[in-house]
Amino acid sequence: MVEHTTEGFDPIDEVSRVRAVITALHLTMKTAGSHGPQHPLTLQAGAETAQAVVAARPPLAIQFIGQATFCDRSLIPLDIQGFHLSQQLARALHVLDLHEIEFEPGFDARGALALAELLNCPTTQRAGAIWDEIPHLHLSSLPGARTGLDKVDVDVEVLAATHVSLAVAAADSLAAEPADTPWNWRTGMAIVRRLDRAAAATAAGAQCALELVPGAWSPARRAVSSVLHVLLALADIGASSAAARGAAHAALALTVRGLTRRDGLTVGEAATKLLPALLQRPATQGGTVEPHIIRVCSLVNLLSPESGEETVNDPILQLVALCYDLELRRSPQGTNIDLSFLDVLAWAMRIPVTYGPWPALLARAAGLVPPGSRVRLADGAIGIVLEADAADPLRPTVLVGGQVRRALHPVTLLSATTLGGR
Amino acid sequence: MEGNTSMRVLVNILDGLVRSARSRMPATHAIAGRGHAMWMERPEAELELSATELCANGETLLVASADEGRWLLPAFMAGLRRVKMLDYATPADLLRLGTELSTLESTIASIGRFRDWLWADGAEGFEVAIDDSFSDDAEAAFLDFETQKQQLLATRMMAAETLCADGVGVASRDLDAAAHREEFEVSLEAYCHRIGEGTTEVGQPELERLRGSCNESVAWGDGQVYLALAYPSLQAALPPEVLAGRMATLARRRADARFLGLVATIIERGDKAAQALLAALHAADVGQVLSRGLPADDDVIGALSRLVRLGRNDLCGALLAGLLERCHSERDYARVVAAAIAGTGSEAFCRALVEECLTPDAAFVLVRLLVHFKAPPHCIAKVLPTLPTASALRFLVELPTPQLIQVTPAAEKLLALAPTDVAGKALEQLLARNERRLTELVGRVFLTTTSRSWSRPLIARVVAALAKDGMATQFLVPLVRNTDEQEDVRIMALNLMDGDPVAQAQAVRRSVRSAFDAPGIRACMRAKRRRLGEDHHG
Repeated sequence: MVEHTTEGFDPIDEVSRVRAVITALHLTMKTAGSHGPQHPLTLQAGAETAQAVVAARPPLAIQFIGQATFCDRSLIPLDIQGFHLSQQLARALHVLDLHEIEFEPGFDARGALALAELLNCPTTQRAGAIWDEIPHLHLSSLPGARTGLDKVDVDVEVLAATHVSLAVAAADSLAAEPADTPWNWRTGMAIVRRLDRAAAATAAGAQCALELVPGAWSPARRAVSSVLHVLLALADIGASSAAARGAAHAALALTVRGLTRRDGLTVGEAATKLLPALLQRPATQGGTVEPHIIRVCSLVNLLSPESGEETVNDPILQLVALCYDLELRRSPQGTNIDLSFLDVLAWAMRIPVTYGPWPALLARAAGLVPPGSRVRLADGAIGIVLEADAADPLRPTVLVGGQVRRALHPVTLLSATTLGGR
Repeated sequence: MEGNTSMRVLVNILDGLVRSARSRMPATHAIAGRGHAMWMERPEAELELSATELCANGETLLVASADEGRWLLPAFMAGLRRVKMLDYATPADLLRLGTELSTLESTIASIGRFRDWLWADGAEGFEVAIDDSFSDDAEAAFLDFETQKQQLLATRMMAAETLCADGVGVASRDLDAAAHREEFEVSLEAYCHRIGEGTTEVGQPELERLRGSCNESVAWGDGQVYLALAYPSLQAALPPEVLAGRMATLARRRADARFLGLVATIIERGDKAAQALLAALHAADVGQVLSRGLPADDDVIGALSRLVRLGRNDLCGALLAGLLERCHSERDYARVVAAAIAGTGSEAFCRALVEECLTPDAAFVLVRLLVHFKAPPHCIAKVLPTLPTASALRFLVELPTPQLIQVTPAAEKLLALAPTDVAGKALEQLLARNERRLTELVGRVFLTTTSRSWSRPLIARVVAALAKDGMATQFLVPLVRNTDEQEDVRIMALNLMDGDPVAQAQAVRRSVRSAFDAPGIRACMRAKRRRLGEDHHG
């Protein structure tokens, strides 16, 4: 990890210094390529590069990720010329499967010239012999980086689990805010975006990851669960992305502000309590508010009994209310047991009138035997459902004792009470 | 203008708009208007962004430099890839987009804010394609996915290891608490049973209906209005013009009874915010939009009737006018409007009208309906002037006499101002009905009109009718004694008064003015005086 002191530190000035490093290094690379490493112009450019690095106060690491340039993992704002220069450096590095240049104190002109020579190398084999000899410099590859517009594949389950985990962490930060603070729209949108991407990567993986996240079912985790299920249900019926985002964000805000570790407010009470916090958002530069924000506020307003509007049969309101109530009931007051999604879903299926067709649709979207559910196989082994085929839901793919198995015979569904919860 | 050339001009205008907005120049609005008009001429035009270029149909139209296209790189960094204007976009939408682009910088904060703005549908009126932002790319690069993978596997292993064939004991205290909670009464067996029976299935028609309902949820359309009206603090950030624009977009997609109900709710509120919103809706042509899209069903009739009962306002006036216009070409809508009139009464319907909104076709339909429903005369009188004269007179002569008499002022005005041939035909038709009151009406028109343009047969017919109906004193005496009137007309009238000596005596009475009459009329008068004297003495 690169350490960087911030004493007497001007961020704007730092950006200028990094830009100067990029400009000087580019010039050195070009000069070395056209005039050779010993040419006086090249030597002068190398010296200037070293000076620029010193002025930027190493250690510092410059990353070239896709078409972006970062310094110590912070995006460097570049103008058009700077962008073109950085892209040429990036292309030279990417040929060598490199993405990061780390300068240490002591980096000098000799190192700059060697680096320039390396950047002009057409092959990694030849480059390898050079970069081992450059003192005070580290070059590295970042596996998750992409070259141009080509993406590096990441295992979809890992991607989904990562997004779920980060979403829960972000929701934790929202839940930690006092109830009367304005709602943090940017964080809320980011959470919904993450879960959208997680669900798009693998819905089963996202659900499974959420059910298996270690730790208690905090309000934040339950909020993420409600968002995920709203998104799954609306994606399953082909609703518009605008509708899905609005409903998901409303579910997030309601559960974050409405639930406690055990029990919480009714959805109507949560809506009434939440609305002032939502409405405190300042207007944008143009003096208006984005449609998405108005949709969320509108939805929450309609869920509040104080709105006085008759909207009992509106399907979006029913869905958000259902997903809220499922999470409300997941950690019942007066017990130490947290239910699984299967448990609360089965409860909802008993009372479809309140929620319209959504319990059945949610079961269809999440999986009739949702990922993360515990089941008993025919041989008595207990496992965790990873994925279930909609056509044959009682013979799911199950994780048993660390191994993945397909159930050959119908499984028995287990509730959290059987297992004692966590 | 060639396609590529016009696209190049469009792109230059867009870039100019951004620069103008950045400099807060007064011409910014005008540039937005020009850009909007030009883009509307090419609705299929889609702009594609790369880091330093703006393209369309694979051709580069703008290359970023220190002066031009400075917004391209940060917009690309935020993830924006394609932009296309939608058919209901307004110049204000383009101005908004240009303003947002003008504030863009290549910083994390700025591109993050722009990305959020795009994601939150801030680019109203445009279809935008968004890819990962540079921040998303960085996250993907800086995350150690191998470690994440190991953690995922470890989590699963841990979860699997907590399970065993014997299950796990539950504390009795928890079981006791659980017994009192309905969530724990859940029977997973029953749930399994439902899965097995397939009773969790939902049919395709139901799914499609649900999808439509979700996309048109009350939360998205009507809900915004309720919210804006209920919370004044929001009204500054959601001004009536913006809200009206969104409602107009909604009306284009969903013109139905529910929307009419929403408009009625706004009217019923009656407060300042509601009035401002109504005015903005009218300015956004929502009345016309609704009239073009409403289905001809019973729900609409009910909603329309509710609106009519709320009285006159510009929006409803435009709506009603549009519906009447539609009746002219689509008979189904005549049923809708007729039912609304029947439900609310002609008077209420007419009160809700804004005459200035009525086209001749709309007025034509309306008068027919009003006549059919035996509307009060003042309702008809209100609408008649909006019709072309010939059409209005045609209606007049078809009206039953009691109704016609009650619109006499309007009728007299129409007849007096109509071209001679048109008026003449109408007058003939009125006289042909042989009703005293109609003859009296014709007489009044006769007196107030310059009859010099009337044909002699028509004049003869009118004068004869007036004499026959005993109206000589009322109409013919003033006619004869009017020295400005044509001589032969006065003589004709005088001759026709032979059957009414009392009136004739008044007509031929000497006066100073009559001394200067034309010889023919003086001679006629002398002859009539002699005859009257002989009759008197005889």
